[in-house]
Order: sequence, then C-alpha cells, then structure tokens
Amino acid sequence: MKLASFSIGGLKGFGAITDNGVIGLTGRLSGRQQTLREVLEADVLDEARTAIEGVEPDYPVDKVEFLLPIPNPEKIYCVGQNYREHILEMGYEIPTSPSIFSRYARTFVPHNGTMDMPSHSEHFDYEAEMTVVIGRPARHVSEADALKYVAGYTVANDGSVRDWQARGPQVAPGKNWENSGMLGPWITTADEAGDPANMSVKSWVNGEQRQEGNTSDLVFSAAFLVSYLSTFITLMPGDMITTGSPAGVAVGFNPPKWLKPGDKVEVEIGGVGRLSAKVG
Amino acid sequence: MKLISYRHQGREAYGVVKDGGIVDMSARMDHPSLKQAIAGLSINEMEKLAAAADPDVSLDAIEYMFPITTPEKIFCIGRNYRAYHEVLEDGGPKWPSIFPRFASGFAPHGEAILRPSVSEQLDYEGEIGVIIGKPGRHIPEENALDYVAGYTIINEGSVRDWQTKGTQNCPGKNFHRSGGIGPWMVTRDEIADLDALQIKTSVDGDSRQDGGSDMMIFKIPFVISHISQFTWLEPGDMIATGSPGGSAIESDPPKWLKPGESISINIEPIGTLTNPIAAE
Repeated sequence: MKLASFSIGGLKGFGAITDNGVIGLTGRLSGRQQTLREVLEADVLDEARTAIEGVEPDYPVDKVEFLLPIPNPEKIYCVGQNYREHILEMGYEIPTSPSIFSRYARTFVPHNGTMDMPSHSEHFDYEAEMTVVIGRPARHVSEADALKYVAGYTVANDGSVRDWQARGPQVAPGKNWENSGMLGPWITTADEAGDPANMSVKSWVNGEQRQEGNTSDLVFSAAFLVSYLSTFITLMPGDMITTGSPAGVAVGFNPPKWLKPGDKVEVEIGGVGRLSAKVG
Repeated sequence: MKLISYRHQGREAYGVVKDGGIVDMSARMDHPSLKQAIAGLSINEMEKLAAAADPDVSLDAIEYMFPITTPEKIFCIGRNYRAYHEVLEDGGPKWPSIFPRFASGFAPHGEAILRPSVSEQLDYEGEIGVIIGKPGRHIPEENALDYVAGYTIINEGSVRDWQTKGTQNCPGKNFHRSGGIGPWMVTRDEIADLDALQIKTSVDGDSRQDGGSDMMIFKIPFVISHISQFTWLEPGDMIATGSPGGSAIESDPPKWLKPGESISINIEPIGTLTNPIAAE
C-alpha cells in the first residue's frame, strides 16, 4: 500500500495511491484520523488496507497536490557517509559509528514541489536517500527486532549547501536550508516495499543520471540505524531516518555540477517510488 | 514580565508570574498557547491584564511545562564562551558551531533529567535561551533583537561519549530528557544589557559554572542573523547560546551527573532552572 498526504481543493488530508488513482481516507477510518501521522500513531495500517479493498478511486493522481508524506513529523534524523563504495572511493576509512545529524521538516519540499536556490551560496547539492518511516514507538530495540517498528519507506533528497556545511564543526547549517531537500511522494508500506537491505537508489538532474547505488552497500543498515537511534531517543510514529547517499553527488564532479535554478531533480528508490522537484 | 506555560489539575494553561502565583492568561485570551499569544503580538495585552488581576493559582500547585510547549526548532551554539583573559587562536573561530535539538531531549523545570542506561557521562551546560517572537528571515544583525520575545534558561545537557562516536555530535545531544528548559521566560524588556548576565550552575549546592555573558564569542544578534540566513525563524523557536566553562568534563576526574543529585542553573533576572537527576 502507498499512503500519501496531499491537499485537494484546499483541504489537507491523506489517502492511498493506487494504479487507478487516489482513494481518500481522511476521516474515513473508524478512528476518524485526520492525518497520516495519526494513522501511524493509532497503528491502524491493516484497517486502511481493508478500507481500500475493491474501492474505486476518488480522483486521479494528477489532481492532488502532494504534501510531505508526514507533514508534521516530530523528528527527522539523517545519516552521512554510509555507502561503502563511496567512502572507499573518497579515501576515507569505513566508520565504526554512523554520522548522525538532524533536519527540520521545513527544509524539505514535497513531490512536484520547488526547492529554493540558496540565496547566499552556489554550492547546492543533491543526495538520493532511502528513507525509513517509523510506525511504532521504539526505544532500546535490538537490530533483530528493529524492522517491526518500521511502517514503511519513502524517498528523500537530503539536499545540502556544501559551503555552509563546512561553516563550523557541525554540518547542520548546510543541511537545514529552507526548502533545500525533497521528501515523498508517499510511504510504501513495509509489506510491499521489499527488503530495505536491497533497494536500488538512483538520481537524475534534468534527465541525466547522477547516482546509482543499492542499499545492500550500506555500512549501517536500516535495521541497525533504528536500533542505534533508539538507544538515545524514543523514535515515534512518523519520525523518519534518511539513510545516506551513494556516489555521484554534484561536489564529486570536477568542476562540481551544482544545482541551478530551473533544474529538475528526480530520485528513485526501487520498490518505494520516484520523487521529483524543481529548483526555483 | 515572566511568562509561563503550566499544567494545573490536568489542564494545560499559560500565564503571567506574579507574587508567587500565576495570573491565568489562557482563561482571559483567545490564543490557545503561549506560542500563539506571542505570535499574536499580545505581550503588552498580557501585561495589562496581569496588572489588573490577582494570581489565580500558586506556583506551588502547578506542574511546569516548557515555556513554549512545542517549539518547532531549537538551535544550539557550541563552544561559544572564552575564558576570562583568554586570547583565542587566530582571532577565534570564523563561524559558530550550530546544531539542532528536538524538544524530547529536554525535561521541564522540576522534572527529572535522565542519566542514560548506556552511559555515565551525563554533563550539564547552563545557557541563556533566546525565544523568538516574530517570523524572520535574512534578519540584519542590527535589528535582530526586534525578533526576540524573551529569554529562558536552558540546560543543554550532553552525553559526552556519545557526542564523539560519529563525525557529528547529534547522538550525544539528543538523549531523551538529557537537558532542561525553563522555568519560564522573561520578556525582552527585562534585560537591558545582554553582556551583563551571569550564568551560575550548581549541583547539590556545589558551584560548577559561574560565567559572564560578556565572554560570549558569537553574540546573540549575530547568531540570530546567521541562522536566519538559512531558515525562517518562527515564534517560539529557541536558540541555546552556549555555555561558560565548568562543565563536568572539565574536572579531573569528571564530575558527571549522578542519579539522586539536583542541578540548578541561575541566570538573573530570568530565575533558576532546577532538575533532579534520575536513572533512566
């Protein structure tokens, strides 16, 4: 099942994306949930599955305006330097602990949205990332149990402003520019998405392929990351973890292929979805 | 004027601190929270209402909440104080160290800060917390204080060994309830000179930090201006502005916080933030 948040006719809600169109689910489940986060909090994905069985879509997909899959997540954690081949190519050592940082939701635009070209930098880069969406509160969970706490997966561009990433010892300023990343288009539930340790990760800029990797190359797997983060914080339904990006980002080219206004960025995660947005 | 968010007999409310009690503003105004009251530019109105009323409830009868119960963003500044007479190498850092935290990493005044089960290295950092009062982006340094609603006290608690596990300090700065915020905020007009504040931290009465805000390297107007280059600052957003010397890690052996201890951070004219330490 693919679940998305969107607005239609000015009303915000959520529903299921099917091959034939969108089935609206706002307020239609027995708990009258108004947001996808509430659906995850109530742990009623099975009810949603039943609710859409044999139901005709309400509207075509191109009639809805996508929002972030969870418009109001409590937390978004990101992982840097997590693809083995890319780390070795850059001449770094394979890390023994993951590099973790956080982003606020407002730094992402939804599917078909427009990213803001940073006003004070030309070093605007993309990072295609498979993204975990938490379904149940998770604290001190083992790696073996970790995927039981995952509702599904989505697609991210962990868009980065490289020169601001290097201003100070922490990357946060370069990772928290307003509307500098992408998230969506939907959450593909875990039962349908397949193995998170074997998903293709690709990106394109204006149709030119830039990145191609597979999550089988992750140093720290989705299951490890859920377990690791749950050591220090309770992961809550709707929280997201972007799991790092393979080789092929703009800064890796000589000269760097920075994003420019008008560029179209696309990211695809196999079994999850394809996310697209422009640079404004 | 001191503004507070609190829970009384199970009901969440906000108000003005007066004569050891609180004049309940949520009963007198339409704004559902202090964040919205501030965003609605209602500080002057609250002052008038409070002047004409007697306290509705005693401070002894309430549970404290974060002054802003649900801040969207909490940016923290690291390594932002020099020691007295210290000359910084090469004129000091060019850029501040900035990292975000989520509210779940903090406890309100009076509630326990949790010593993690996986680490003994729980440390404290007494800090001036800035609370933003109106939305701003690309704020010039010279106007930056116009965007401040007031100030609170932040214990930017840190788990030191987890701060250095990866390239980013995020894990050590995001432990569940490892810091404190409160007990309330004072409005901007109460502090005439931001360089004349004294930050005093004590653990079970034993003085640990006693530093003046005149030793701040990146001053509050600069920090507000700098952060607003990459993101909108919104009403209720907070900035923890860095801590003077005297953290536990600086003692030999380090004086890590232990369950059963009580930590207080005093910054006049704001007040004193006190939290017991408990085992997770």
